[in-house]
Amino acid sequence: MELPAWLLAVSVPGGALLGVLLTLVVTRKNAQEANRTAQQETLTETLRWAAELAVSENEAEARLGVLELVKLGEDPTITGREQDLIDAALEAAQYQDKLALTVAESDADVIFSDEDVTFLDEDGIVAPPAEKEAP
Amino acid sequence: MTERVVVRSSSVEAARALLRRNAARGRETDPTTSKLAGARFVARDGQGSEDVAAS
Repeated sequence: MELPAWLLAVSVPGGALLGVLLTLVVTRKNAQEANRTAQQETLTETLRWAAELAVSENEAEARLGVLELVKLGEDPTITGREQDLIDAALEAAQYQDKLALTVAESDADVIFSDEDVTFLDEDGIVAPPAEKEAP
Repeated sequence: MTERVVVRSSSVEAARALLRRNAARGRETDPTTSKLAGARFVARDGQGSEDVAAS
């Protein structure tokens, strides 16, 4: 059976156009998938970095890690598993002090201070930490 | 005399974050974390003692 000439004239460029459109859709989908994977990897990296900082001996680093974890936890795109990892890191960040509170008296006064904060006087000179009281 | 326990500010911040997160998800927070979250701020010079939880 021979196809009409007009059908041949339409189907060849139409087929080519369809092919191009299909390629575009697939390429776009792949790009979106790659983008999502890259975002996921970045999030995982940031989470790992923040968790490591949060348990640092250095108080300034630990504070940065905790604040970063808090911000990551507020991200609406993160999954329940990532939320659980953030909770675990926040638990680990306070572990030592929780241990201290567990053995302390139930009516103990729990305080935190600005011991690690550097103060500058009006001449821009670092003020020495206040002397601690003798026990 | 009341026993005084000095904790790290990062621990307090972590405890407060967990308290908020658990409250938002309707979960209970363990008493020790709640106690840590309620820690008072005391300035190095011993003055201006205040609770910075609201800040």
